[in-house]
Amino acid sequence: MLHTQALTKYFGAHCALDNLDLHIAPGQIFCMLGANGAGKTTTIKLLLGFLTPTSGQAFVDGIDVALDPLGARQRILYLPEQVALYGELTGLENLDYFAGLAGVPERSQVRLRGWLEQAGMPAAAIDRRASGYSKGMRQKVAIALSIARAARALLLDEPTSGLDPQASAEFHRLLLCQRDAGAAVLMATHDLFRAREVATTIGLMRDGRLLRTIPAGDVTARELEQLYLEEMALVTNALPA
Amino acid sequence: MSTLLITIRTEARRMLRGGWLLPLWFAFFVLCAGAAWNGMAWVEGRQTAVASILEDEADTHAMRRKQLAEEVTADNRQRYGGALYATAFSLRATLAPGALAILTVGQAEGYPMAANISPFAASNTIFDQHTAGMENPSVLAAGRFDLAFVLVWLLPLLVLAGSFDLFATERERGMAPWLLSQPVSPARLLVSKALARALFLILPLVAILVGVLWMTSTAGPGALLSVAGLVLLYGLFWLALALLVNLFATTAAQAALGCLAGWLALAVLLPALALGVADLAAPPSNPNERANALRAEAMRARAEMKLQPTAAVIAPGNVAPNIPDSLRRRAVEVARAEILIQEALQPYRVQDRARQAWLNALRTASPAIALQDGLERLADADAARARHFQVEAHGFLLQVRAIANQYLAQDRLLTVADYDRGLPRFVFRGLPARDELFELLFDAAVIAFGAALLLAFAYLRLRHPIHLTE
Amino acid sequence: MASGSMTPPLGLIVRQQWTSLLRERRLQILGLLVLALCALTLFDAGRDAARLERARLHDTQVEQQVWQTQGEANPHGAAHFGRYAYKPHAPLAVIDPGLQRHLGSTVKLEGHLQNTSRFKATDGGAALNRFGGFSPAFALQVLVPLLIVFATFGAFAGERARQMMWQEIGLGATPRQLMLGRATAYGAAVLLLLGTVAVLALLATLPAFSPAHLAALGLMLLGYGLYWLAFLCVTLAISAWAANSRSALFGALGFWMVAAVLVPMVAPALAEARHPTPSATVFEAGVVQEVMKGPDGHSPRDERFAAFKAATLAQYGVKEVDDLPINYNGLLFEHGEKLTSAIYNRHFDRLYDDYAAQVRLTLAASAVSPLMALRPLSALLAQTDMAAHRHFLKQAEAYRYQTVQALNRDIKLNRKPGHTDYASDVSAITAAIRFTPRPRPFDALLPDAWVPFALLLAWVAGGAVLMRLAARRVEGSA
Repeated sequence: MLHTQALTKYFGAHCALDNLDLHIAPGQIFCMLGANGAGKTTTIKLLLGFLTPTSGQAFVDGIDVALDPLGARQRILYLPEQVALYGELTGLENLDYFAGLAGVPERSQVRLRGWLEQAGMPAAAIDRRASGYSKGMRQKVAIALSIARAARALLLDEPTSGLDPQASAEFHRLLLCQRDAGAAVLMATHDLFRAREVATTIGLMRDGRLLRTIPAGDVTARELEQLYLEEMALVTNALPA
Repeated sequence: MSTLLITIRTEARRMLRGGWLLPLWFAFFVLCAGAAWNGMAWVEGRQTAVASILEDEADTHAMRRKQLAEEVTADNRQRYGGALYATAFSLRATLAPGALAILTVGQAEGYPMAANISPFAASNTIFDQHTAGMENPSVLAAGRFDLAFVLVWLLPLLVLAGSFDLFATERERGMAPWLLSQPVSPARLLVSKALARALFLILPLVAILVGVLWMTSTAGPGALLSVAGLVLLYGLFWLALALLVNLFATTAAQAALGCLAGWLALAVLLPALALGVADLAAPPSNPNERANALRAEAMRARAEMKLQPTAAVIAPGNVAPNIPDSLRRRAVEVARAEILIQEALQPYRVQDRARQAWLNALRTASPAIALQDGLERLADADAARARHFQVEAHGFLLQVRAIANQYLAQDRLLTVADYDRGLPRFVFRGLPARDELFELLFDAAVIAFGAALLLAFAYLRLRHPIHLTE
Repeated sequence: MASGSMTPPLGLIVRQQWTSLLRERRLQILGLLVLALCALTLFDAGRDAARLERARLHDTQVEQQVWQTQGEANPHGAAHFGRYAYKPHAPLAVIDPGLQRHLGSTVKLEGHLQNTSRFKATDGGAALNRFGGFSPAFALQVLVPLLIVFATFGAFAGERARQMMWQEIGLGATPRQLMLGRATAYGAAVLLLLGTVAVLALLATLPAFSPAHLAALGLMLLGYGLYWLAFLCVTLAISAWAANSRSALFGALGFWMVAAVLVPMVAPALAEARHPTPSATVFEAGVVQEVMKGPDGHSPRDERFAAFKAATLAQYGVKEVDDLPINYNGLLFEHGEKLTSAIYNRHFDRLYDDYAAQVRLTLAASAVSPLMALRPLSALLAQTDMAAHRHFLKQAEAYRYQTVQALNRDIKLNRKPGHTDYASDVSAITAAIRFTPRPRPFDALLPDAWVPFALLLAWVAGGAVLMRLAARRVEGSA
């Protein structure tokens, strides 16, 4: 579903992504772990068509993103770290708008409410203006959009950053529902433990390179942490004392 | 199509809920109403002045007719030359304000609105009495608060105030990547947002303007539609500017700054620069130099006539003419003086025509100038009309002189019947409608071209929409 | 909360703000742009002033030659032929052209009539002329305040500014010090700008150096300085009061729009509506009416002249006009000219009183806009206001009156009875009468200057009060 082939991106002389080969099938969750500047967000932007690759290719459901970015986005739902909504509109109106942009047909009030409730939005909040929403509630609108669009692929950029534990747990529950519905998920995150819980495969990234991929079931959380620190320590060991 | 409709609907909702749209409409209405009220006062003043001039003419005719009917006898005729001799015609040519004059004062105060026409008046003096006004120069210096001011300078600010954050707010709040990750092209999205602004911001403003004009003027639907069309185009130009600015600005404050800078550049600085260019390339003729040249010419002519007194022209077979020969001599002097005046004025006319051509051409420098020009033409307050009036008034003067010369040749005195039939009257014909329409279309084309240029830049920027997500 | 440090943070705040200002690239560009515009307009206006002055001298010479070529002419005809007087260019008009573009620079001086000045710069234009008037005064009165708005709207309200503020509070600064520190730093920038403009203005008006010129320029710049400080105080207060940078920007821009654009345009129009002035036709009709029918409308000219004739005959002890030792027509011209001039003077006095009433009303609008106090002050000191123009017109009228009466006197004393083609050397008759217009002396300007200065000081004081109140709000939100 999500597939990259020697995907590379240079910004001037700086290599932001170096020969990334990735394959995420439907029903799989790939968690990218790495420090800031590792190349996680660059990967997401390349898959969205926000950046053009220096070399290599990115595919979404077989569509070359560089050649048909709109077609690729038809199949993707992107969830940024901060989901921003129009504060003057209610959650329902925001969903109606974004779903409309995505071409979701038949957006009746009943269906819109249904999607929001499916995403875990409290009924009382649906008709409130989004200016009063917490981060978690804004995220629920984004998830409702994913449900409405029946997106085949999800690109998530630090989705649980800033969420309280309950909201984070609820988010991951919904994520698993999406996975079970057949979506391919690429999630960039710092949360090692959650990654271990939800991911099918975990990738460690550093300096634009995917250093290793680990099936999530093959490591414990502690082992994952150790591996992560070892990879990152290769950087810190090189720094002066 | 659904992207367009859903975006327009959402934007309309946002605009109304933002709490600024209705106050903006109201503010525009207040500005238009105030400016129209000002315009009506000015038009009334003008109409009163014109009526007063025509009344003065009618009073003179009535007085002379009365003298002819009740006082003139064969013995006292020489005391009533003013009533009897066609050479003493005291006529007026006036330029009344147009039906849409409340739109703008335009150039109406920079040109004479009337002329005193009498056969022996030097053609360069017929406007002298109607050239200087008594308006407080402080009011003139402050600028007339007319509808043109509201439309040319303030309307853009209102349009920009309502559309400066077309996309900048989304970028500032980090919403842009999420928004653009939806399967919709950035160009389509932004054009839809702009269209919403056009429908709910610009169209209502145009409707308010037309409503105010309809209530306060006597203009017909054609004129009102022309105003609406020009102003709509102008509003769309500024919307295009806001769109272009939003393709570069990453915050609302930056977008506000960019839009304001655009307004300053296009509505203030560029036109001032264009005027500076016109002043350099085609400065106006020196009126003092012209006045001195005419006076010197008058001295020369007087000296010539002293050396070669003009032969009397007496009606054949008339030993004791009704009209004294001195008037016939004067008529010949006047005809000679006319030739000298036109010769003396010729170089200044050429210079002034060159300047007018530059001023006309430089309206392409900015849509603001083109709109001002268009509004002046629609209000019949443009320079071309005013200059055409001067040409027609001069033509009327020559016509009246010809009539007076006929009376001289026939040695004929004016009678009561002549007064009752009506003395020569000035009727202003104006420029051909075709020419007026062409100029208006040219103004519209300048504004449309400006908008198209901005949209072209926007298109080029949108070809690489990646920066919108940064 | 106050820190343990004994050093008052005010100097630190000032230094920090000053450094931040200097490093703000956006402001550097805007500031340089405004200065460049000022410099460009100043030197262009200076060049234009030199050209106009050369033209004026040339026109004066040619006019004199034309007058002299009349040779032997009927003095009364010469009085109608008239002369032209040209208004000298005020040196500080380079900075503030005031009303000059809308006042003619030429007056036709002729018998029986008092003309208004003619040949305005705004005559004979086209649509483009509506955009004229971009002078240094426009840059200083409208653009510099806009620059101040953009420089200061984020002084308290911006994200970065807020963070800096909390740091300063952490160092022990009180909100009053925060406000004062910023006002000092920004005020120093305003003074720097003023100093630069002063140097440019001195260079542009170099030929006119004199103590009076320097004093007028100094006072003018002081006025501008107070005006800019008033704007600074108000926009800093808005910045401190606003909830975020966006509302601070809109609030400050709104103030600029009202104070620098709308009120200066609307106030004179309202004043004119309150104290309307007659049109030229109505004015002239009023004068003619009084000439023909007397001031009360019941004293026809014929009767008055009959009375004058009777009195003259009695004075000289003769029965017929032809028996008078002087030419009666000349005497009548002299008497008529005196009467007509008095009538015109009365009507013009009334007109100028109306203008003055309008000016007083527009000055009252300075309650809403400090520009309504600065504008008349600037034009007063530049001698481009109505008072300066009237001063010139009075000198021109005195010259006209002397010239016309000299010509009438020549007829009275030298024209013999029955001499219908009397001619005289009109140039010789008027040779001793010279027109040397002088500007208003500097000390004559001062009485009219103190009210606008007081209003500007009031604005600065009011702005300081607003800053103090806004500082309390900052304290509250801290």
